[in-house]
Amino acid sequence: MTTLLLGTPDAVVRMQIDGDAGRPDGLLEVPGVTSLAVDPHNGELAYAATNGNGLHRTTDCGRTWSRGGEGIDRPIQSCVAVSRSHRNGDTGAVFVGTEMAALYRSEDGGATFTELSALQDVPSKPTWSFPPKPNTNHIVSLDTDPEDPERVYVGVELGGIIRTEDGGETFLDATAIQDLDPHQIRTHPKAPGRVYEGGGSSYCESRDHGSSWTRDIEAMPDEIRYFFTLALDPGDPETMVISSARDPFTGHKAVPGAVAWSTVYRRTADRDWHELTSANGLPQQEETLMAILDTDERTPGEFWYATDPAVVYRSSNSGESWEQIRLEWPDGVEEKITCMAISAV
Amino acid sequence: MTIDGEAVSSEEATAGIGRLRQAIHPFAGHPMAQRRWAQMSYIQRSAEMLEAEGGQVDAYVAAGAATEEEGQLIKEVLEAFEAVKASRDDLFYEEVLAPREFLWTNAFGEDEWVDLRAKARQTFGVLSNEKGALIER
Repeated sequence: MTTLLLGTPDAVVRMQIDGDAGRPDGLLEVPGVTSLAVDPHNGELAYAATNGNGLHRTTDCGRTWSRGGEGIDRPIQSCVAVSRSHRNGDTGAVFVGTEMAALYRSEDGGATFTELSALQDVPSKPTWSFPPKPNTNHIVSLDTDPEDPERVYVGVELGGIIRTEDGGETFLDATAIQDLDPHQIRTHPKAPGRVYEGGGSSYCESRDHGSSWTRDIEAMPDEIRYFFTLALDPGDPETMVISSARDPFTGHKAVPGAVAWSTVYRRTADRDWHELTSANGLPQQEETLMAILDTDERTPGEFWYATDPAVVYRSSNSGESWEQIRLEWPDGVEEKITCMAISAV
Repeated sequence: MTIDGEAVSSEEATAGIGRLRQAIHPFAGHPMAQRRWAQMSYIQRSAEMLEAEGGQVDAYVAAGAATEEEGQLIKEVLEAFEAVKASRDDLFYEEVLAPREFLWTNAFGEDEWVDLRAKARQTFGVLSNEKGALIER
């Protein structure tokens, strides 16, 4: 049985998936949900970060929630992630990123946090700047090394991927080549040292824990140069899907009068980037906002796709074809999905 | 205070400061964002707006739409903008901006742009009152 945790502007919806139908059976009413994360080794543990309304945690995959986050002293939480390799019993270390960019870590299941303040010493910090609010910056993405608990990758919008190799004692600055707008950072348990990045102008990969990067979008049309979310097949580090657009303005319908346009590209070991369309079961590109793509590590070959107004698709064959999930949406909750996390429990 | 002999109402002044805030915004952005904005002519239109509105800052301050301090910050942005124009103004008008590879050039990295960016970032922060421009996810 798969459970989706769907963030909306005013709530987290727990959506139980049975076949091609989804039924809500849990609700956390909290404004400004920005990011959700499920513990990769314990699908009952999950976390919800918010803009101004604290960190929330659940030990029953979203049926009930409690407040956590003591020690996070910046109000706008922009990102939450749970480590695969940094474990304390059955609980992974929890990382929360904020606007203005700061990183916090919890080793007690999200109850209390300590800031990893060395992030503030990175030389490039004065240049970090989020385009719509250039006097601000924030952590947009986070991932951890699947084997080394000391390695954490921190995506600053815009600033690039800042990484630590010593558990946050020190941080290494962004390098050349990589996209400085790292919307999504991914690592894969079956690909040690490999880091994947989908960003505001490119898709990049590193094979050496983020020390060097290669831009890899030659197989895509020139017009596709904006990427939002990226998901890797849990069973195969060569198979991935990435939500794509021509630019942020149509991808997010972010300026008055813009008509939404987005698409999805897929790559496998034996086939370079190729577009997925309605022939593969996904929505048409026109009038479709950029997708949130995600997976659950316990389910190889399965991908999830969410866009608005509150539409969810699933692929059970590594992204080749997709089917829409018929969602029963809870009364009184806005049909807008801001973030998503998957749990196969 | 008047502009060309015409009195500036409070509403007109407030709208003028709003236009200046919007015009300053792209000059405060990260170079990567500025490259995209140049492609969609946002930088160019903002340059035109700064040139059109810049001479009226004192009138807007006198009408109460901005504080003396805010007015001074805007003037410092205007000075930095003039320095950029004097050093290299092709980024405002260059037609070669269209190719997508421009997204990865080192444009907007010269010292004058760095100075303009710093002043614009400070000024936009003061004028914006935490509001963004363009995208609000």
